[in-house]
Formats: sequence, structure tokens, C-alpha cells
Amino acid sequence: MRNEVEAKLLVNKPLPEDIKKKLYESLRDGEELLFAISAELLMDGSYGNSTFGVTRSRIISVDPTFPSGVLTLDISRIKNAKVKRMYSNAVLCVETDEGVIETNRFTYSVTELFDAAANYINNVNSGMDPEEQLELIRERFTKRKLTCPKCGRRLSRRNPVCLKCADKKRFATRVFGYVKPYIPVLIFSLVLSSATTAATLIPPYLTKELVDNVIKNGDIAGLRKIVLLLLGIYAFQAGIGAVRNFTLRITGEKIVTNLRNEVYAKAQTLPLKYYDKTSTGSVMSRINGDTQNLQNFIIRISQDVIIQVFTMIGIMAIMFAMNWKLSILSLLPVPIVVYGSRVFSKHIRPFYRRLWKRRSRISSILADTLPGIRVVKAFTSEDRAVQHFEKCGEDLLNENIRAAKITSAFPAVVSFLVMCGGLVIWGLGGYWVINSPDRLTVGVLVSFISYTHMFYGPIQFFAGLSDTFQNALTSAERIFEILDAEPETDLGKGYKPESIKGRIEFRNVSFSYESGKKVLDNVSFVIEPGQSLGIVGATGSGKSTIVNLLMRFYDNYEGEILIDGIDIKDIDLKYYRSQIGYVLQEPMLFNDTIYRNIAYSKPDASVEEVIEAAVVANAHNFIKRLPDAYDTFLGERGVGLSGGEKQRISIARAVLKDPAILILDEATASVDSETENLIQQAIERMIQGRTSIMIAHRLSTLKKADKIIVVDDGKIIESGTHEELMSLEGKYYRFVQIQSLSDGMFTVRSVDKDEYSEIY
Amino acid sequence: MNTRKYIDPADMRIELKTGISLRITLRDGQVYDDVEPRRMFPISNADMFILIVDKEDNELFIIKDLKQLDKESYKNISTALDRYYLIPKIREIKRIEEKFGSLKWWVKTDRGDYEFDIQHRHSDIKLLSSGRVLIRDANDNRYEIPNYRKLPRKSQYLISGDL
Repeated sequence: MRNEVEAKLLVNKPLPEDIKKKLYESLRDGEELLFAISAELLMDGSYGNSTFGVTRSRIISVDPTFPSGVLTLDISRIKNAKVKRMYSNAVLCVETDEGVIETNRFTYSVTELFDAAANYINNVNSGMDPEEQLELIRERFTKRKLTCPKCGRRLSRRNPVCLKCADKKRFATRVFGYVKPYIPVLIFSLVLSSATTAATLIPPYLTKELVDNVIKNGDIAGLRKIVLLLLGIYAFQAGIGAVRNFTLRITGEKIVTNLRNEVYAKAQTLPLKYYDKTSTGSVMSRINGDTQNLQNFIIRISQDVIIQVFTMIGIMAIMFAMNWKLSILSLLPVPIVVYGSRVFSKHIRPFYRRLWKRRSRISSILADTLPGIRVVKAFTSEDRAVQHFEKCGEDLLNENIRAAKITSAFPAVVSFLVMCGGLVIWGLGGYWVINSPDRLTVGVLVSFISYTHMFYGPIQFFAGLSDTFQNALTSAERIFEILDAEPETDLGKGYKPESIKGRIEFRNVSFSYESGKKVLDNVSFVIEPGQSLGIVGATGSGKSTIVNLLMRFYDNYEGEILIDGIDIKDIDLKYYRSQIGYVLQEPMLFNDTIYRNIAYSKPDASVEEVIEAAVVANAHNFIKRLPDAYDTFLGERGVGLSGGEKQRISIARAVLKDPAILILDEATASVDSETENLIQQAIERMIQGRTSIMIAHRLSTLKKADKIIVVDDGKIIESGTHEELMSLEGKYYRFVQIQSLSDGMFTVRSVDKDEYSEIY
Repeated sequence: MNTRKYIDPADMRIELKTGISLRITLRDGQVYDDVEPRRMFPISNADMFILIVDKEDNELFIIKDLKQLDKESYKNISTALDRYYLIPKIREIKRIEEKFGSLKWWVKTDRGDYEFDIQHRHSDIKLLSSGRVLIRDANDNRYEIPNYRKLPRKSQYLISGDL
């Protein structure tokens, strides 16, 4: 009877016997256990077997840390049940008239089941149909059991394709798909390879003829013939080999180009969520490095494996035809070499994984800092960026040195073993040649030795084949492009004023990014210390260029830009940028903790200062609610900060820097209205007492600016306060009108939507 | 100027109620009942900058350094924090199996033996410079190896490829 009940019981995993016993012993006569959750965590936080069971009238919790080992409670007594999530664990809290009772503690692995159980209890108590509620529980348990029959991976819904297994099945076909267009070329290359391989088998045989017949008999004509023949064979090998290598290289490059293009095209279509979890550096490393590895593998599989098999068979046939006893002797080291290769391969694998990880880390730094080079420069962090890069480079170097030790030692050992095999043949073969020349001639012995050495080539090839999967090739070509580029010359070399008050003057500034159209044309304006300037203009009008020049990202402009009356080109660049806070439209956050992202602008800031900056930026409230709070690692699984949250972190970074001049480049452009308000509050707090330049497409955010300039086609066409510009009824006025209209349309649409839902 | 409220640890007495619930009495007699502690730096500095929140998760104040508390208060708040933050310390890795890129670990921790899956070996196992290793499993549970160099040799070998 109990077995039948047990078979019907909904449970996430088989319950241990002792737990099961306690659970069933706690049941009253006729009471049926509906479902049970095995929790794997005890109330004291240690791992162990605990269970939460539900009957129609009671909950039963089994946990060895309870005084009696069991806790039971009538469901009707429960006023509310809820799961309290903590860090890596949670508890089920049930509220009764006597207070809150914690019935079970569990890891995140079963939180969803406890959520469902809490819902069941609350819903049943509120009068909902228990059978319907039990059906929901059943669905939850069933959903949990949806796993791929092959790999055990949890599936999201019924009968979906398990991506991992499907990929595996299709792997060979997919790889073949890339090779398919090049099959004729590869066959041609294979024919050439076979020809050169066959040619390599001939010289040892000719050596035998040379030693045994030609030299021994003083046959000069025969000598000439064999030497010419050998010359011909070597020339043939070299010529055909060159053509083969060329063909293979071109084919390989074509395959890798197609593959890289496809991976890149796929990377464009991946959702942003994917990039929250995966660093762009890692994606870059895949597009570059991994496609290259696959190319190598394809070439080795399609060419070298076949060639090496042929070579091995050919050599063995010749050797056994010459002398089977010596052949067997020469094969003696083979098992040791094969076994050693397998051991080597197993040991080298972790090295390659570690190397991959370190290379990936370097790619991540590149992907972070190079696209974010403006931030690096704006916060004068070039030295730190270089130091960080050097540290990771050193890690990679050390790992490479460790790997090099093992990869250098192994071939030496193999080579030594092969030599030993050769010595055995020399010893025994030499003995036979001396004592019974009719059994073995000198020529046969010499050519045999040559074949033995050749034989170990394919053996070593197969031994190292798995190595090819992991050993990535790097290209130095692009690195030299970077190394040869001109650096910024005046970092740390100019004038350093004692302080910067923040008076900014653009005096007849003109600029073009490349020879051609001027992006800024004779721009002049003044901002007094502590004033705020709003810049308005259509896309491409030159707004951001003003900021780019002020930040000294470009120096080749005409006219002058002055800070406190000093030409900015005369001020030390590093010092100058350290006086400016810069908040971009797309916040550039690094693959690091929130704390370090904020402290990036002031690495020696105290923790209090960092927290205070986050408070000013309206970021503290959401940061403190994250499980890892300030230690939250950005760019990881589960940490998907919204655009507004990222922006507030970047504002906190600027606040912490406490700059004399502040630049906000469309800081609220890509956020919703509510977030915009939060950011706007933060901005208003931040700009107090500082000279600030704000570019904003939402004109309402610029109303409070001391001065607004309207830029059109690289020229300032209007200038004044909001009120002055509105009374002018010019371009600014029209911008405001258009924006009010579009905001109005949005409101109307919202109303329509509400009306729609009321009607239907 | 700080807008956050920092309270001097010397000015308070902390009692543990149930679970992670605390009663904090300040020197001036003010009582914060049914409050909970949260770490601002759970990974890098577990005893510093502890946020005290009420039942609705509203921030009340910050205790800068728990070590400045009296012994009993320190013990009480530490108990609550240890209960809230479950980060088992791995003492030994018994076995690691790899299946299609996912890893299954069998470990011995300070809280007993356990097994768990790791979905992304490259991002879910993080080595810090001190030798500390932070691990996150497929269900978002956290684990820690305080110093992988002090693990048994076999464990070090098993984990070496992922560090």
C-alpha cells in the first residue's frame, strides 16, 4: 500500500529512507502526502537531507536539526507562506497567529518548488480549489523533470531540441559543410601529397643499392645514375611540396574567412542578454582565434591524417619485406611512445585551458579599454591600463613557460626513445652484418635505419593530433600596426596650473575630422566659472565635436580653446583631463565590480567617498539591493543592469572625481522618463558649483542651464537662456515645439490604449 | 558630507532574535527592532560596511566595521550574516566530470559533502590573485575556495585546468 502511495508522490528526487520513514510516520490515519520537496540543506546551514511535505490539511517538515526531527503544522493555521530569499539560500517562512515559523532552509536549486508550495498554501487557504492548485504544483514538478535523455541538461519546455546534443550531432556535418566547396582542391592537394610521400620512400631504398651494389662494385656509371635519380626525387619533392603548400594555404584561408564571416554575422544577431553574460573580448577571441584553430583542424583531418596513414603503411610494408625480424624489433618503442603521448595529451590539456583563459582575459581588457579609450583618457588612467595589461600579460607568459616545459620535455623523451630503437637495430643488425653477411647486408641495415626514423614521424603525428585542437595560433601582424602608430606626445609634459576655476572660451574654432567638410565652422562662446551651458542641435550638427575638442581628443583644429585664459594645448594633457568629468550617452562600464567601476575615477578614494558618490548619483539605492552590492561583477550572468542604472554608475564615477568641469553628452538619451528624472536629479546635484556642458536631446532637461547654444551645420546660430531663445522664436523654439508635439502624441496614444483596454 | 547614516559600533548593542532578525539598541536608548544586516562587500570585505535594513528592506544605517563591536554583539550579527550569506568553503574536490561543456563537481565543504553543476566554466570559476577561487553553480549558488593552493594535491590537479 505504502509503495503505491510512494509511486504516486510528487517529489523532485528520491527521498532517503530515513527521511521517508519520518515523513510517513508523521502522517495521520488516512492522511495522504500530496507532494514533497527534498531540500538538501538543514536549518543550521549544513548540507544534509531535509524534506518539506504537504498533505491536504498539514505541512510536514523533516529536518534532523529540529528537536524532534519533524515539524508539522495545520495549513488552516497559516496566515501567509512566503519564500525569503537570502544569499545562495532561502527559507520558507509561514506566518501564524503565534508568529513566523521557518519550516525549511534550502539552496537556490529548489527555490522555485518552494515558491510553488507557498502559493499552494496561500491559495488553498484563500478558498481556491485544492485540486486545481495541486495541478499547478504537478505542472511545476513535471517542468522540472524535462531533461535531455542524452546529456541530462534541463530543457525549457516539452520536446525541444537539446541545443548541446543537436550541435554535437551536427558538428561533423557542419564542419564538412565548410570543406565541401573545396573538395576538388583538397583532392588535388591530396594527390600531390601522396606523390611527395611516395617519393620520400624511395631514397632509403636507393641508399641500400648505393651501399650494397654500386660503391661495393666500383660502379661509377651506376653511382652517377643513382645520384641523379636522388637529385630528381628531391627536386620533385620540393616542387610538388611548394605547390601543395600553396594550395592548402589558400584553401585554408578561404575556409577560415567564410567561417569567421559566419561567426561574426551570428554575433550580430545574438541578443544583448548574451553580451551581458559574455565579455566582448571573449567573443572577439572566438571570432579570431577559434576559427583559426578549426581551420588547422580541418586541414589536418582532410590531408595529413590520410597522408600519415599511407606513409605508415608504406614504410611498414617495405620494412617487413626487407627484414621482418628487424621490423618487429624496431616497433618495440611504439607502445611506450603511444602511451606516453596519451599521458602527455591528458596533462597538457589543463595548460591549454589555462592559456585560453589568460588569452581571453587579455582579449577582454582590449575589448574594454580600446573601445572605451575616451574614458581611459578622460580619467587619465593610461598608466593603470598599461599596468593591468602588463600584469595579465605576465600571467600568460608564466603559464606559457609552464606549458613550454612540458611541451619541450616530451618530444625530447620521444626522440630519445626512437634513438634507442635505432641503437637496438644498429646493435643487432650490425652483429648480423658482421657475423652472417648473407642474412643482412650493410645497405639493407642503413636503409632500414632510415625507414625506422621515418616510421616514427606518423606515430608522433597521431600522438600529437589532439594537441591541435587546443593550440591556438596568434597573428603578430596587427600588433605591429598598433606598435608602429604615433602615441600622444604631450602626456605629462605641459603646464600644470595650480587649480582650474572653469572659465571656458572657444575662440573662432574650426575643425574637420578628415580633409573635407568642416564639422565646426568659426565657433566662439564663453562659459563663466560655475555656469552651465546647454548645447542643442540636430544629429551631426557638431555638438559632440565641441566636446571632443574640449576633451582634446583631437588637437588639429583652427582657432583657440582657452581654460581660465590658458590655451588648452599648453596645459599638460594628463592634468587637464583629470580636471574634467565626462559622462557619455552610452555608459562605458568595465568588466569589474561596481565599486571599482565607480572608484575608477579616483582609485585612492575611501569607501565612504565611493558610497557617497553613488548616493549623489542616485545609484546607491539599487546597488545595495543587488546580492553582491558594491562587489557585484558587471558583465556576468544574472547581472543585467538597465541603461539607467549603468548611467547612474557612470555619473557616480564622475561625481567621485569631483572635477572642475563637467561634460554630459546625452546622458539621459537612452532611458525612460522615470529613470531620466532620477538621472536628472543626480545631474542637478552634480553640476552645482561646477562649469558644466550638457548635450541633451530632451530640451526640458536644459531649461535650467545658464546659457544654451544652438548648433547647426557646425555653426552657432542661436545663443541665450531658455526664455530668451523661446522669445526669439527661432530654431530652438521650433525644436521645443516639435518635442512638445511628439510628447503630446505619446500621451494621446497612451490614453487610446487605456480606452481600448476598457472597451475590450 | 555623508548623507548616509553611519553609527559608531561602540554606541550599540546587538541582540539576535530569530533567524537573521536583530534588535539593535543604541547608547541613546533608541531601539531598532526586527532589523536585518546586509553586506555591502560580501566578497571583498565581509565585516566592513554592514547595512542595516528594516523588514521592508529600507536602509536605516551603516555599521562601518563590525570588529569595533563588543564581543556579544559581534557574535550575534555575525551569526545573522552567516545565516543570510551561504557561501560554503570547499575543502576538497573529490571528482569533476565534464559533459558537453558543463561540469559536475563532487566536493567536501565546511557544511558537508555536496555536488553541483557549473554551466559556464570560463565565467563561473573566478580565480583571485590571492589564490581565492569564487564559484557559481548553474542554480546561482555560490561557493568559495579560500586558497586553492592549500587544497589536497588531487583537488588542485582537478581544478588546475579551470584557473
